[in-house]
Amino acid sequence: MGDALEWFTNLYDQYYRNVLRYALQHAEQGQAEDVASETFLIAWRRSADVPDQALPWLLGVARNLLRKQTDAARQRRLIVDRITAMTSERDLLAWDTADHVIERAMALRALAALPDADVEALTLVTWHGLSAAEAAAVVGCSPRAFTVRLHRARRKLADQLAASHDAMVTTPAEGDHHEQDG
Amino acid sequence: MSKTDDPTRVMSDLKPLLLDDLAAQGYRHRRQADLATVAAARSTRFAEPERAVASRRRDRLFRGRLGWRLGVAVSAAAVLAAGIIVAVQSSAPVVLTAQLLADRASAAALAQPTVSPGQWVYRQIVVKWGPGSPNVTMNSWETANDAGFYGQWSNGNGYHHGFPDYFQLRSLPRDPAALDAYLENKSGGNGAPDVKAAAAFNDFDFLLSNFVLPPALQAEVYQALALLPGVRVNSHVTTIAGQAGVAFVQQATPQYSNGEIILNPSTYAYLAQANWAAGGSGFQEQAVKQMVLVAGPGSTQPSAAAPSAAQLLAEQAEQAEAFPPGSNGGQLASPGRWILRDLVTSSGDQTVWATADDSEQASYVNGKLRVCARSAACARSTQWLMPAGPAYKTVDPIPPERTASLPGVLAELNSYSTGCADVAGDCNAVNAIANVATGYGNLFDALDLPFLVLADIPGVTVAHVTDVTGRADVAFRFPFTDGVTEILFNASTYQFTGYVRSGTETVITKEVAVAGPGSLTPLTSPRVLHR
Repeated sequence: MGDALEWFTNLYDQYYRNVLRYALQHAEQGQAEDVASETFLIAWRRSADVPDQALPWLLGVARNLLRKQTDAARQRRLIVDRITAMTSERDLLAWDTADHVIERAMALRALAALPDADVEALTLVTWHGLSAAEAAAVVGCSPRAFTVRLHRARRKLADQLAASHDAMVTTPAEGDHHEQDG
Repeated sequence: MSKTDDPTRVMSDLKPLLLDDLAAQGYRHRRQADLATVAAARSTRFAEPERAVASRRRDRLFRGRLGWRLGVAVSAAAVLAAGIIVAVQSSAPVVLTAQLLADRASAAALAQPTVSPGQWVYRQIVVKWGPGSPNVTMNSWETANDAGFYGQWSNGNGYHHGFPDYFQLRSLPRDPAALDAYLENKSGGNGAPDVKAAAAFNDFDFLLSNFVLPPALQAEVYQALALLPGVRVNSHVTTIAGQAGVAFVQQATPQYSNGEIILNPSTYAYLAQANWAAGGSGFQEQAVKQMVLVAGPGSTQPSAAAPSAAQLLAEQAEQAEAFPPGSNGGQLASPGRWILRDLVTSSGDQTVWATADDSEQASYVNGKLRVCARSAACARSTQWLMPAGPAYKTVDPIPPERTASLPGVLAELNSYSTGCADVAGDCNAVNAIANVATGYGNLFDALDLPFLVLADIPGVTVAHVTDVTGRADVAFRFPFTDGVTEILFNASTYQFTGYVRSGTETVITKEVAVAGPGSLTPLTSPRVLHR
């Protein structure tokens, strides 16, 4: 039993923050913590089922818990709303120091134009560091299907960014505003 | 082509920096309770091959808010026969029914003295986490109002998020049948009657094993237990600690395992809780081997003396520091985070920016913002918020189990040279605590049990005072001739407010995380000390 607890403690210490980060994309802090904690309780009760590469499995459990709680209508815009809610002054400063031609708010608007499934695909890979195969395990599709979805999501985002960029260049007021901020 | 055309990079830059902080904060916030929860539950990884049963089993020890909701969503597939109170001991001259056991246990409870709110309770428990696992003994100290906790965490003590806390105990219904109905509905939701009864049994189990209950409430709990449908008695059980007992027994439902609440057969004192799934799998038990009123954390000597005013203040201050009011979503103080503080002193006001570990500080000098690092030449002429004391050692990611001894902490604090005269009287320790509380973004990153130590300083007294801002504070007063002679706490929230050093009072009126030196804009959900 000591071994089991040690195994669990290691699992928890290694991945709790990853799971919570993922949950925070879909839910407010308190609810996200509940989901993360419940995910690990499930991992404990079903520990025989937890694979050695545990993160995709854990995120899959968290995803199911989040889906259970959030009806489809509310979930539609939730990721972008959550990103907006968690954006702080530090992000704006960091964004300004990187050489982006586009404003962060515009990038966010471009992202908001994407279907949530695409946003999720992008975040799993870029924010949570999963490979396409691991991310596929989280969302429950084949790695090939996920790769296709990811490719499309990237292309759609690039299109949206280009559209935003064009709009910014042709709208002087927006451009001036950006100059002042920078 | 600009870099905005790289969607992967834009996507990765859109990740809010706060996300990592919030995740670290949640991790810190939840870890102890979550590990305690699983320690009391059962894993399938290293257990016997009943995993299908075990994994479907609603874990009755899980008490997260979400857990309750999921628990009641499962439909009851097999409804057990409605309970009739049954006597099981054929050789006993008097048939022990659930009602008779409840009557005797209630009478015994009512004969117990009321424990004063801040009283420390030492508990030694024996835990068996599953069949075949060894018995583990755990020692802990907690106050009979949740204000203080010290020692080893287990499911049976300490911080429980969810339901209920000492404060909420007061609002429970004062009638056994009403209490049953309340808990059945609260925890059993829209479940079938047997599910509701099992959920309420679960809560009683929780109340009895986690709290030092007021005698009247404890008596009521026993009466309410006997009224629950399906509850019967087993008059011959033995706890994992080898104690003979009599038990209230609740049979399993598809969502709840079998439960037992075991009492001493002659004194009817609470002994243990046990539970197991159908067929005896997943057996786990937690037995109370000792439960003693003591003078303070770390002590095992019985002492029913009510806690002193200094101890009560120290406990409240610890609690306020560990769980600051309204801190949900607040900022964790990573060492480099800048914190803006407004200080009001009896000789003038000051605004100081400092990193959470006080390694850099900034303030306006003649209208110009001067930023200074400890390593720079300007450090000598800077009045540091934390001039002497223990180093900031970020405890994230793993919060420490608080097992340091009070004398050990006191000795360590006395080893810092803070320039005060009454070294033998622990003035260094008091000064170091005031320094750390003023200058560090998170007290527990520097000190275990920071304020409990103060109650042990020889000659300490407690006084209600009005500070320089006109606010009501409660203060520790120390009989020193120099250095820190008072440490102030808000009289209603018990949060650290300031100190009196060499006759000058300093009160922190604002403490918020900001983006950098000179910034006046709080980062999201700042922790506000004073409102």
